Amino acid sequence: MNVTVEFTHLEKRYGRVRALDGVSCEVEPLVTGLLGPNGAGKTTLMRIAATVLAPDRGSVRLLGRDPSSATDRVEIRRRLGYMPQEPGFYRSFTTFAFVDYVAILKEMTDRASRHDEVRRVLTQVGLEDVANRKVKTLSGGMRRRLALAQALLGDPELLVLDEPTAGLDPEQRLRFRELISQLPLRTTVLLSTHQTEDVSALCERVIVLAGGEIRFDGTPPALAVTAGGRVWIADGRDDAALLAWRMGDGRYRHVGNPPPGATLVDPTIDDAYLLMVGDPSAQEGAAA
Amino acid sequence: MSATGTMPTNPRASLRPLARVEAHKLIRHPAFLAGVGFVLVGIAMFVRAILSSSGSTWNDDGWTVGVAVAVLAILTMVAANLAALRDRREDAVEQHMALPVAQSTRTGALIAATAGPAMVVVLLLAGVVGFAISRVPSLTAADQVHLVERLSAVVMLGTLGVALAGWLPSPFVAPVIGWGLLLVSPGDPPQTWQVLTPWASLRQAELATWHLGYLVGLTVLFGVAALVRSSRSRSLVIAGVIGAVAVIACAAVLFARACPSRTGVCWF
Repeated sequence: MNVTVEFTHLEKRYGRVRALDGVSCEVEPLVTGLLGPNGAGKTTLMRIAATVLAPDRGSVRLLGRDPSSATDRVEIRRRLGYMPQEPGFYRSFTTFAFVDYVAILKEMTDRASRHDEVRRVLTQVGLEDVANRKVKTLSGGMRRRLALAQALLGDPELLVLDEPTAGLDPEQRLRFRELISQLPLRTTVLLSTHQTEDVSALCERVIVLAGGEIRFDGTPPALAVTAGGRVWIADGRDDAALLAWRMGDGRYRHVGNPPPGATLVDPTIDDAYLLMVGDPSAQEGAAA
Repeated sequence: MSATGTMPTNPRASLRPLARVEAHKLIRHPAFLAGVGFVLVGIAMFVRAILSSSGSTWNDDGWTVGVAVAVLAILTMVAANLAALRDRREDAVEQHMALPVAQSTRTGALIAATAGPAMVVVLLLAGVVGFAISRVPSLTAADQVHLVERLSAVVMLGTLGVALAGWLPSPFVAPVIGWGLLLVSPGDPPQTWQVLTPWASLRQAELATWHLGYLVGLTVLFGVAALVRSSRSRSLVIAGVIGAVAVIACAAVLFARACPSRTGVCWF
């Protein structure tokens, strides 16, 4: 497989806060999930992948080109789709007019074929029925789908999606999974999320980022395996566990170092993620 | 690349469709539509004056149209300014930064879009001028230049609105400047320095033409000021120099000839 995204020793600081600290990885044309707590550096990495932010140190290659070169940057942007964490919308535009405007900014200059493309992506995200409605009248979930629609314009080879399922209801999230799985196989999808279920369901590869560093890089099942022997179930809460919660059947599921004789169970990605990033409250404010 | 297969080889190919969208947005902007309302009222007052008096002249009774177009020009500046601030106001800067069309092309499209309001003014004035010519014998050469000046003021202030969005990105700046422009309108008698205001109506056709050149020079300067925020090229520098020379030369001629005695007796 060919490498489409290449990060080498990336460093990025915001003042005294270190957002990325020597991040290196290569990504191929598949769906790669980026998991991490708030402030882990996910959005910084996504912005670098979307060519809107340059690292302080290290090198980046996207689709075989160097985004620090102005010419290469334009070429990358022609083949890139980006949905930021907080997408912006022209609220006074209609849904169709907004996507059409973005399509012009993607250099789709022929009116007829551009309009066909706008209709295609609106249908893809299920917004074809609200094409003539003003953006300001759309619900939060619809707006996220609209942000996704503009990112899908032109079948980009590299799709950078920063928390695309935030604010979507369960049905919309399932539809989102269906949509991503229908993308051409040549598409490289970089997906940042807090939803471990999305990673399990969609991603062939997962990268766990915490404190600006990569803590794990592998497949979702391999991530779950890292928690092997550290998840157990008991009738009562064990204070030695890193985290414990009562389940539907009244028993407690524990994550951490099990006591002798504990009833071990198969770990999930959630368990492994919890163990990997440690106490989530300790991560708050670690990085931008 | 694309499913549409419409990737242009010329990176500026998006300028025309963008300008078309922006022009449509400008001429449907509430501020601009309010300006159109002013012009319609100004035209109605002028037509009423013509119909009710046999001795009407453009110079005596056409001022209502001139003032209304001046107000429309200011409101065009406000509308263009808000359009240029749209990404910032709607938090879309980051999203659109990842798109291939350069910011300079987008700024250029906004400047080109001021042709939309200008076309509306042409349509509005064409009717009233046609009517006036049939009824008022004294539509002088100077009057005709004044009409073109008002038209160029629409483009000039629209371009200023775009430039202001780049240098002073606040939606309050353009309305304040617009209000200021109304305040510095030449009074009676006019002050010497007021020959440099956009609304100075010089009575001689030759001087009015110099004033038109001054407005065109300002338009070029404002356009360069808008574009230089995102692009620095040799052609921009040349355009800036040409604009500056035009403004200085025309202003010098106007100062020398519009108010020759420096006693407050000015030919406008």
